[in-house]
Amino acid sequence: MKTANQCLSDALLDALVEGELNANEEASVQHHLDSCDDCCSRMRERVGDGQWWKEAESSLAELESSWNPSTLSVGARTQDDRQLTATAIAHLEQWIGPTDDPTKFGRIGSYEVVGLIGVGGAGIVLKAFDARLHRFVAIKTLLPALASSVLARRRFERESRAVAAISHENVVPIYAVDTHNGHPYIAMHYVDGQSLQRRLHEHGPLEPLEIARLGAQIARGLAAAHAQGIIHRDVKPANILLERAVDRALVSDFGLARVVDEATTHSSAVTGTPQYMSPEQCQGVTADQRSDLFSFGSVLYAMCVGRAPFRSDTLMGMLRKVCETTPRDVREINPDIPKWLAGLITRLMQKHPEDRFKSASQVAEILEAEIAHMQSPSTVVAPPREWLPKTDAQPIATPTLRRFVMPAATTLLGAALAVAALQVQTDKPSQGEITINRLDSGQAVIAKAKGYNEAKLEMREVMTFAADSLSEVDIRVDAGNLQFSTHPKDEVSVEVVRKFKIEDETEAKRLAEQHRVEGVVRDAKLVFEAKMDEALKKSKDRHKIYNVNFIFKLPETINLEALTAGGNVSAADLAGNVKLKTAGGNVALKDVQGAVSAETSGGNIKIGNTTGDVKVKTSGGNIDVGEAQGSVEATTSGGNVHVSEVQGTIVATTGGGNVSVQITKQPEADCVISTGAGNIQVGIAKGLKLSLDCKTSLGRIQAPFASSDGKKKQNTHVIHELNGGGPKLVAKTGAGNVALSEHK
Amino acid sequence: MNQLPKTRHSLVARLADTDNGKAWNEFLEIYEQVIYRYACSRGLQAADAENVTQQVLEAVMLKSRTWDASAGGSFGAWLFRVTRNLAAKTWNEREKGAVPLSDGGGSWLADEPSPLAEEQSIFQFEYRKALFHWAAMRVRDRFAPQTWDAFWQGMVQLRAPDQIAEDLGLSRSSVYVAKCRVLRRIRSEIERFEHEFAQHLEVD
Repeated sequence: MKTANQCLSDALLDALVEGELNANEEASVQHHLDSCDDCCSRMRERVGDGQWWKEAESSLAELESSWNPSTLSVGARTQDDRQLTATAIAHLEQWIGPTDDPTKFGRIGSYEVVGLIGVGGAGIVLKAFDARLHRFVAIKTLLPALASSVLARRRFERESRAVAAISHENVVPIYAVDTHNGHPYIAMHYVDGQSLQRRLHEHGPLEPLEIARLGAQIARGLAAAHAQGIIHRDVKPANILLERAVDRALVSDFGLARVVDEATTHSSAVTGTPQYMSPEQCQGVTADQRSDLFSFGSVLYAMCVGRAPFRSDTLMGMLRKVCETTPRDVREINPDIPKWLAGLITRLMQKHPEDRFKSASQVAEILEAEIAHMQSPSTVVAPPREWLPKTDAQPIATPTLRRFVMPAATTLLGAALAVAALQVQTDKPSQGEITINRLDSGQAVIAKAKGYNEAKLEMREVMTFAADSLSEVDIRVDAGNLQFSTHPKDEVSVEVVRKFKIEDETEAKRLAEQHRVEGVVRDAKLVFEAKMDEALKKSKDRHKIYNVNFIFKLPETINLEALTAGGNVSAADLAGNVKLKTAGGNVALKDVQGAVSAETSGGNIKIGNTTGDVKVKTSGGNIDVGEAQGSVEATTSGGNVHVSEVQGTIVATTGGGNVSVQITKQPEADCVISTGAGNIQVGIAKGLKLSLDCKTSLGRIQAPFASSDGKKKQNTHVIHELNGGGPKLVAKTGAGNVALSEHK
Repeated sequence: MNQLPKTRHSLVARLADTDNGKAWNEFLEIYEQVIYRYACSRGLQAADAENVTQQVLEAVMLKSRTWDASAGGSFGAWLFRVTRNLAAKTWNEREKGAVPLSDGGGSWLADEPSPLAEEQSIFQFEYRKALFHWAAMRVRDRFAPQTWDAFWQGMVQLRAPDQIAEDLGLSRSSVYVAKCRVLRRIRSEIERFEHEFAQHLEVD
């Protein structure tokens, strides 16, 4: 062993730097170094030459200013806990005053310390007895390294006082915030139980109901804090305490993460891991309440699978994962987890705060509704779960969160024009009124939308026109769905509902101005037009108006002609003639007394209960006509045709589709059914008189009641007088079969 | 300083996920930040800087397969040139038609670019910084908190050794020893990386 005044060998210096010396040797070497600058500088040289040190110094100096502070303040899991505990205990011995009770450790204020609960990232937690109130309390104090920072101490006190103001059954109550020998501490409710962390460690994943139950409680606790403007910042299983007696979840350690963050720049004394941190925290961006929601999502995730969602060996790797990767779906790991819960977690763990839920209380409500359903699935229906990410565009429910009402004239040229042109009474409150509803953003989730919460706005505009002199309405819109029904009064009203996927109302109004809606009366005819300005049509903004509906109410007897360049059309309860045309969309029509004409390319047509003649045409779509008193002419180039309960002439033509016709009443006129390649199926009610003429080029004919006495030609042509004959039933197909049967 | 934005490019993610070896992943960990920050420092906006980062790494991946170490020239210098050119190209595209800036912004790629060597040294410096930080984070867990604190406060926060010693309850020489211990580890970590990465280039 060297003596204190003997200079150290290079080998010894190397061993020292490598940490290879035993305690005695090290003490002796250190002792020498204290008095020998020469050896100190030689030790430096063992690490690197002057140039290298210069480089190291310049590279490391003020690293923290250019690197994310939160990156640095997060410790790794592999911390030497024993070391931490030993330091903590050494600190406690100094700090805790003498005690009168030999069975206890010491005293903090009026509390007798009875044991050490744990040493965490931020501080030490002690179990203590409050003799005055005769109860146990948990005492939390800062770790020595933190306690020496004035900033941390102030922050600790301030945060603690704020948290003490929260009174909620799912937040660990704080009884007192005080100092002892100059060190701040908090006395709080002693939770007899274990942390969620321990529960997961010991039992692994929890049952779905248990997850929902505890999750709802945690969410309630967070909501209570958020209501006071307090953000937890370190929501993780270790900070969720489960009370043994009732298995109640209590959230603990609010705001302490911030104390640590602000006071330190390094890991040694700092919070456990970033495993539950939000991406924004990892990036050092200002975190708000939604940051807690992310962490809460991670906690739920851990409850489902028994481990944290993100794992990595290195800190940087961990931070990167949190920010950039999506954890595996919980259901892949634990198939017992219901879909909705997996969806809830996914939603909570969205990288962008705006894509998460709005608030912890919203999440609590969802969980509570689910719990009710889980507990009695037979009596409580499943909640709507409209917040779940949708895979298809969904019709939008319209709970109104905010509502704006403004006069139309200030915003919509079209409405003003219409009003002027028609000289309708201006005192009607509904007239020209525009309302803008902000749809619940969570409701209208469309798979391809950028985020879940892209704001949805709905702008409603109502226009009315006096109809006493009108006999005809002509409607032309360049895009949008049309809906017609009767107006009880003698007027035409149009409700234009535009739906926007957009940031705010201002933008919606700007776009609405470029979507012109006008109505003009000419010779007893109302011409109504809606179209987008060319500029809007060409810009990307047009997709921000993702849906337009025109809801018309017309006097019963008016004749209607409507054209939309894209959209579904529906009409009901009209007495006049109806002529509908859409360039792409479905047509549905029922209870119409006049003649009906409907045409679409690509869409389906469904018509029911008509009195007049019906003429429908689609290219590609299916046609379904039922309960028609007049004649029916149905043409589709590729789809199927289904006709039932038609009294008049039937002419059904399809290029390649199948045709099925049910003849239930004695027809008054001929029926012609023709298809290029499809099958024809005809049901004929018993007793009807018909002259059959069925023909197929390549297929076969099945006509059971015709086989005995009808003329047959290799089963490809049947001519038969059914029940003595009557109007003709002609069925012709090229490649398909024809099947006649008795309709039952 | 600009941080690499949250969305990691799919390409980068893919590169990182492919079985390109540890050295490659570590390279990404270090260089991605450097390139991104350099691009930002050259006046590119975040989205463009991200693109440049992606393009550079793409180029790097291709080049690393065919890198001829024996041909001379350092990989770092080559990387800098690629980054610089791509950043300049992007900047030019963005600013096409715009009035050239007389100060700052545009001058570096105009007729009188800032001296290449100077820029390169800035790039190199950023790289050293990233490398040291990366290595420091890697070795941190191997030290007792006190040792780490002494190192950090001395080398990063630039506190005087006496102050550190007093705060941490250590002797002055222990603070020196702590610094040396951590730095020795950092050094060997950096050397290991550089060696492995060089090998990676050769092997590929």
